[in-house]
Amino acid sequence: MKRMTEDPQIGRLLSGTERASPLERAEIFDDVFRKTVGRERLVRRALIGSAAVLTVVLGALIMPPKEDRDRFTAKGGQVASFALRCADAQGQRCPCEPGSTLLFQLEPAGASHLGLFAKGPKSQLIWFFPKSPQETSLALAGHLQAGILDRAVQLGEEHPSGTYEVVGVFTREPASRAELMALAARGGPQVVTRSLRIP
Amino acid sequence: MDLFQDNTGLLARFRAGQRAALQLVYETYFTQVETLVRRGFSVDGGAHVPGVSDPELSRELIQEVFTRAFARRARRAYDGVRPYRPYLLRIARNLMIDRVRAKRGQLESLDPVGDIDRIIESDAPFIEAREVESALDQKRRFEVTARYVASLDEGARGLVQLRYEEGLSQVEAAKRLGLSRKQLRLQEGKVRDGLVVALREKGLYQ
Repeated sequence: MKRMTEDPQIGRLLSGTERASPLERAEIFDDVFRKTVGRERLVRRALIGSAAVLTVVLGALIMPPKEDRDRFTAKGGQVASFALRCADAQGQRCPCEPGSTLLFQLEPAGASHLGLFAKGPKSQLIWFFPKSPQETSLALAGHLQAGILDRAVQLGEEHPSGTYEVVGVFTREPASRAELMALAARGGPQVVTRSLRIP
Repeated sequence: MDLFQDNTGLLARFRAGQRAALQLVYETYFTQVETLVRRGFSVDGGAHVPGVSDPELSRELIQEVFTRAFARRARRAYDGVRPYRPYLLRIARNLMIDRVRAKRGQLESLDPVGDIDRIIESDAPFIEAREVESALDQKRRFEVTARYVASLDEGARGLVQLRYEEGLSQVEAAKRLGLSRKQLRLQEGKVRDGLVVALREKGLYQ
């Protein structure tokens, strides 16, 4: 979704000023914060973590509510899976809404690579990994800290409200976007789908 | 008086990256940075660095200034003793000089704030802005916009006020207007599209 002030001229005209409108100022600050402190905290949580913050995040993620546990329990063999969780800037678990950070908890079950995309409420396709058509799925080695992927998504106004279908495709070899889509269409145990609702 | 003077609590929170502290610093100095970016400046020796009137480019520059100033290393390196304003202006100065060197974007001469190095060194205020006549087209755009907004229904006018004059987030504005976020987004899109149509009809938008 295009940000509302993607054409700043329209926003400034509506605010009656040639200078940055209050909305634009707020958006600039949000971007600045996300690129600076937001990114620092994400890396810290995902890779090193302060003991208290990471413990909270891990506690929220690796001790899911009882009704969730069966989805992660191996049943007669290992099955790849993932869970979606959102955290605020302090690392506290929170509802998934604009401003929160979307984290991925993985159980690769022997898979070495992950492709991840989402179908949005307007049927738009959003790729998480690979990030570009020229790349292949994410190699998981070195990117998991206690099952939490060190790549997260900052939810913002570019993620309109609605229900998203997040699809993860676990493979043992790198795969292109086209290959991942084909695997997803075929289905199977390495394809995992989760629903994400953004208010 | 500098924001950080005799305020070690704010300095600690700023260096720690607390959002409220960063936001306070940002809001305090935003206008200064924006003015410098818009008006341009002269440098010692008479060279002139023009300002930027293009909204997207000025936004990009302002965002880059604060991103550099609020980066972890920069926050932790700031000692709270030196005034913060010159430090921020120096970042903006260097960015704008780099852009002139790279000849990036549309730059226009507007109304320079003065010799930037002297301003930074002595933390002096900017020289008064001249009464710069807005381009005729821009005046007409504002007139068309005012007529357009006046023609909107009460709900849409309320949306314009909350979002564009008061700067509320979509979530906050939706709550005030009794709408869902989705409804607000749709209505806001219609308002913006309607303005674009109104401007295009007058040949004032490409």
